[in-house]
Amino acid sequence: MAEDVELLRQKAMLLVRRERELHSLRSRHDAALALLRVTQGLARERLAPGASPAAIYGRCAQALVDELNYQCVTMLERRGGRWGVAAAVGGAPDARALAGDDVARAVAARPEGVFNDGGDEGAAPLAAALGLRRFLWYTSGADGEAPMLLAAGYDAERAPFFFAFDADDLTFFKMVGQHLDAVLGNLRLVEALAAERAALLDLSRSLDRRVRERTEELTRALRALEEKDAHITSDLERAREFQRAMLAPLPPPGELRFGAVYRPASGVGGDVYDVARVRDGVHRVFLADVTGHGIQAALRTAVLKCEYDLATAAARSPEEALARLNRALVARHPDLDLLSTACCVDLEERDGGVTARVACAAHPPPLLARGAGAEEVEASGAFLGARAEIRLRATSVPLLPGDRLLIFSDGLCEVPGFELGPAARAVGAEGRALDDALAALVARAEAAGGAAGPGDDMTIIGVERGTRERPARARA
Amino acid sequence: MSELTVIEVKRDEFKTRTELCGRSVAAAFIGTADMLATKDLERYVRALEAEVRRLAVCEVVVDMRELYFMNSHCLKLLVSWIVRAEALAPPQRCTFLFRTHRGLPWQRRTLLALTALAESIVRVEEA
Repeated sequence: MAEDVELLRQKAMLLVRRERELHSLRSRHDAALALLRVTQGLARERLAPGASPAAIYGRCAQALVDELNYQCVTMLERRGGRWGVAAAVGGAPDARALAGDDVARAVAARPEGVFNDGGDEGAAPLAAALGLRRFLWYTSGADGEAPMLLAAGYDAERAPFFFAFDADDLTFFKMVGQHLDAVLGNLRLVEALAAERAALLDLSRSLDRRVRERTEELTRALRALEEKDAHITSDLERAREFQRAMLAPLPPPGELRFGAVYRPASGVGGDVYDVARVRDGVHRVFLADVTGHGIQAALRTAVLKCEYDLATAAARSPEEALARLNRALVARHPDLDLLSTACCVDLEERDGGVTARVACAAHPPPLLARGAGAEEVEASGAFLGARAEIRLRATSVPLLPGDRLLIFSDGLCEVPGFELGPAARAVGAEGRALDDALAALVARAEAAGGAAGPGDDMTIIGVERGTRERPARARA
Repeated sequence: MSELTVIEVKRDEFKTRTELCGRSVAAAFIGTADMLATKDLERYVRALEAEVRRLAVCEVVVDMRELYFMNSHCLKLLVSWIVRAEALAPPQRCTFLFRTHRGLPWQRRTLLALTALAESIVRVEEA
């Protein structure tokens, strides 16, 4: 019987222990549910329109009081090294004491903990400032930009009615604090993103405006440029016409036939030529190439042509014409940079024959195409326009029936990959008329120059003697 | 005598190489001196001319053996220098020796013209 009583007593004690464990588990389960509700509430709060840290603090504090039955919940934020009250529900913390050095030191020493009825001198300043007798506290974001302290518990009056907090309570409490931290962090991120978005929108609007303004400016500038370009093109066209007009028409064909191709590199050029009958039985061919291309060179050719017209009239030979022209350029236009090369050829019909007297001033020597061959007519001399006195050595060659004399500028003979002599022989062999032959030579030179186009002005003048021998005129 | 100070032309298509040898300056032109090289060559020629005067150089040897083409703009720079040099009194007047390549006919014609311009100070040596 006594054994049965003892057995029953032990079973009863076991039942009580199980009952207590069950109660404890239920409490924790309730607390977990409460925590879940608090965190869900915080999540909703974060998503609510116009959510702010202050609102979230307030809602969190209220939820902790409502769901977890804390008497007082206080939330502190640290600004400028001091703690300030962000939210307080169920109690009245001493804001001045909380902002003091004692609390700052206490929290720095222990960022989180449990305080149960004194006995913890380190946390005493915090307990006094919060006005709590039994409480939990947790500090988050100590290394971050916005540290927060969350404290919850009971004052001296209510503390005796509740169990002392333990490590499990603190773990639970920390979870709430961490969740609150995450919510606030997200909120700050959302705010930062919103601010960035607003800044980007501002920037985008500003850029749009600037692009619009710049486009308008560029459109205006482009219009002005187009007008200017049209003006320049018109001027260039007139200059081209003017330069063409300077090139006198070739003499009509007789015993000698003349042809010319003039191809400036850019509308107007630095080449100029003249073919004229200077006296009875004598034609003079002149070709000059001034340094440079384009408008500047074209203006120089105008000066040079004027001076040539004056010089040639009184000159009895091509070398004299060039020497006179050179002296005039140096004496009258020393500042115009009229450095030029030139070739001057007198073609004299006399006693049934034709003689070409060739003078060159640093100019490519003319080519004499005869039958299937083509040879240079050597004549040397210095540049025109560099110094007053220059030496010119002229050469005379007979022009036989069917001969062609080609006088050209260096733009034609200095095309990379193009050799005028062989080209002239090839064209001569094709039996083309003079004009066709000259055009073919220039076309071949241009083709050799490739897609880059002519790098220099190209001019070629051809003189052809008729194929029939003419009887010598009787001398008077 | 101090050192020669010129900034060499170092373009892809055209380069210069300059050396002072006693009282002579050797200037090698290499490549193709066309419109693209004109500005650089002008700066180079002006600097070299100033150095030649400063260092009282007697002879400028222009090596054109590796110069495949020189347009009239670039040539004018040399012509202008030669004309200026010829106008100087003998102690400051330098002479020019052009070394040319037999296989480049344009050099012969061009340098004949340079010789004709200033026979007393220009010589041509064909290699």
